[in-house]
Amino acid sequence: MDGERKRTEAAIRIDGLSYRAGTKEILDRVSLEVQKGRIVGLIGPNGSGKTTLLKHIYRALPPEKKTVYLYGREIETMSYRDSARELTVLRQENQSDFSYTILEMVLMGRSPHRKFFEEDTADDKRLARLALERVGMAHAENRKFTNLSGGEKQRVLIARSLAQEAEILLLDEPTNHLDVHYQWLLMEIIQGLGKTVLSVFHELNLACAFCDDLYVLNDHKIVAQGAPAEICTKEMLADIFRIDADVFRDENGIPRILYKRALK
Amino acid sequence: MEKHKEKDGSLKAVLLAAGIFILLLFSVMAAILLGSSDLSPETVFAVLKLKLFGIENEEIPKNAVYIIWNLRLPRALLAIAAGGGLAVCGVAMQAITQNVLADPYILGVSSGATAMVSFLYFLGGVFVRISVFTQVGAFIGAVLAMVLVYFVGVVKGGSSSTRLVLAGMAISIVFNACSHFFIALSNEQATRSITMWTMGSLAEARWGNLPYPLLASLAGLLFFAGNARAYNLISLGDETAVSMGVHTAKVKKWTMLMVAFVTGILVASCGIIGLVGFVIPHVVRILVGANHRKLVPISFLVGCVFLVWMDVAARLVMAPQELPIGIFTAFCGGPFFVWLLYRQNQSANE
Repeated sequence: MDGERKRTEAAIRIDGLSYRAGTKEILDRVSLEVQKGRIVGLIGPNGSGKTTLLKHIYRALPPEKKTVYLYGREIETMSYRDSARELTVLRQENQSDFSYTILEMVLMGRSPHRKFFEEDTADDKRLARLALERVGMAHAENRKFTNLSGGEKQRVLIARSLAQEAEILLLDEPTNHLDVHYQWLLMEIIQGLGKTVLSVFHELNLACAFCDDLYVLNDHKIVAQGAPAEICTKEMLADIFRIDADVFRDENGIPRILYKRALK
Repeated sequence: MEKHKEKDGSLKAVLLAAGIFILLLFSVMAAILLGSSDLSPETVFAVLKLKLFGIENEEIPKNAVYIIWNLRLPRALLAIAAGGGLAVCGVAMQAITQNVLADPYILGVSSGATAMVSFLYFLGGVFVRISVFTQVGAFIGAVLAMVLVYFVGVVKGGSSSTRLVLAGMAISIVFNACSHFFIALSNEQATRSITMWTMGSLAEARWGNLPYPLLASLAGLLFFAGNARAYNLISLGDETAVSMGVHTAKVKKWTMLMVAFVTGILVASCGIIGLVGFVIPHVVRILVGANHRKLVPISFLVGCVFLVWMDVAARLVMAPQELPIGIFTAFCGGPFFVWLLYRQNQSANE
C-alpha cells in the first residue's frame, strides 16, 4: 500500500454499511471513520450490531462492495493476507480442542507475513518473544495455551496481535470475563502501543477512560458520535442503555459513571 | 541459552522422524520375513539381492520369489500408502472441522464407497469377478458422497464446521440405507463378500495396482504439509484464521477435495480400514504437540509403521487363514480411544 495514501486517508472508513441476516436487520446504513493513531470506542446495548460491524472489518463477514475501506482502499479488493497485515483482531476466542504452546500461538501472528509452506524465520521468533516480553509472558513460552487462566490467555492473544505487526487493532470486548485488574491492565497495555484502535465495549467506564471518540450504536444505527465527555450523559444512559446513573467528571474531565438502577 | 532450547525443539522433531523412518524400514523387512509359508531369512535376503541388485543365487525355491517379491512386498508398500495416507487425511479433517473426533470418513466417504460396492456385489457376475469394477465403483462412491456433503454442508459466505459434520452424517445415513437395501437383496455369498470388504484387506496388492495409492498418499502428504500453517490457524476457528490472512473457504474446499481423492483411492484399493485416520493423529499429537508442521509428516510415518504391523497381524494370527485388517486396527484403536477419554476425564478433574 502506498505511503501517501496511508498518511492522508482515514485508517478505517465505513460508508453506509447495511447487513441483514435473513429478514432480520442487523446494520442499517452505518458510517464511521477512525483516523490513524486514535482510539475509538463502539458502545451500544446488546443486539445493536457492534460485533457484526467489527466482523465486516476483519472479514469474518463479507461486506457489500464499496462500504468498508482501509486507508482509502476497498477491502474487497485486498487479499486476506494483505488485510491481515494492516489490521489485527483481539476478541474472545472459542475454546479449541487443539493444544498449542504459548510460543506457537504467538508465532501464528506472523502468518500473514509468510507463505503457507514457509518455515518460521529467526526473525519471527525474535518478534514473538519480544511481544511475549511486552505482555509479561516470556517466562512461559513452552507452556500449553489451553492450561492458562483467562487473564493469561488474553495477554498471549495480545502478544499474537503484536507479532502480527499490523497498524490497526480491532477489539471485540477483549476484557470480558476478566477481573477488574486485568480489564484495566489490558487497556493500559493497548493504549501504550500507540496503534489505531477500534474497540467494542460493554463496560462504559472503560470506554470513557481510554477512548478519544465514541460511537453509539442503537437499533442497528449510529445514533451519536463524539468525545466521551459529550457522549456520556445521564440522558444518553437512560435513553439508550436503560440505566439510571450519575455521571461525575474526574480531574482530567473524564466521565465516571455510577450505576444506580435499571430502568423499566 | 534460549537459542539452544530452540534448536533442541526442532531437532527433536527431526530426530523423531528419522527414528520412525528407520523403524519403518525395519518393519517392512519384518513384514516380508513373516508369513504363513515358512521361508528362511536367508531365502528372503537372497530374493531381495536378486531383485534389487541382480545377484543370482541358485538355491532360491521357485515359489519364494513370487511370494516375497510379488505378494509380501507389495502388501507392505500398500500398507505404507494406506497407513500414511489415512493418517494425514485424518489430521487434515480434524483441523478443518476443528474437531479432534473427526476422521477421514466423517464426510461420508466410507458410506458412499460401501453403497457402490454393495450395489456391484448385488449385481454380481462380471462386476465381482473383475476387481477393477469394485475398485472404480468404490472410488466413484467415495467421491460422490464427499461432493454431496460439500454441497449440503457448505453454504455461501462461509460455513460452520458443525454443519459440515452434520451434513456428513445425513449423507452417510442415506448411503448406508442404500448399502443395507442391496445387502438385504443379495445372496449369502455376496453378503459375506460385502462384509469382508467393509473390514478392509491388503490382499489385492500387486505391483500393477500399487502406483495409484502410493502416489495419492504422497500427493496428500505434500498437499497437507504445505497447508500446515493454514491448518494451525483454522484449528483455532474460522474467524481467527480469516483475521490472520487465511482464505478459509478456499483452504477447506481444496482440503476436502484432496481428502476425498486420497481416501477414495485408498478405499478402492483396500476397502475400509477404520480408526487409523482417527487414532494416529491423536497419538502423534501427544508425542509432538498440535503444530501441524510436525503433526502432518510424523503422522504419516507413524501411520505407515502402524498399518504394516497390523497387516502382519492380519496374516499371521489365524494363519494360513487371513483376517480382515480392519479387525486389528479396531482392536488396537478402540481401547486407545477409551484410554483417551479416560485421560481427558482425569485432566479435567485435576
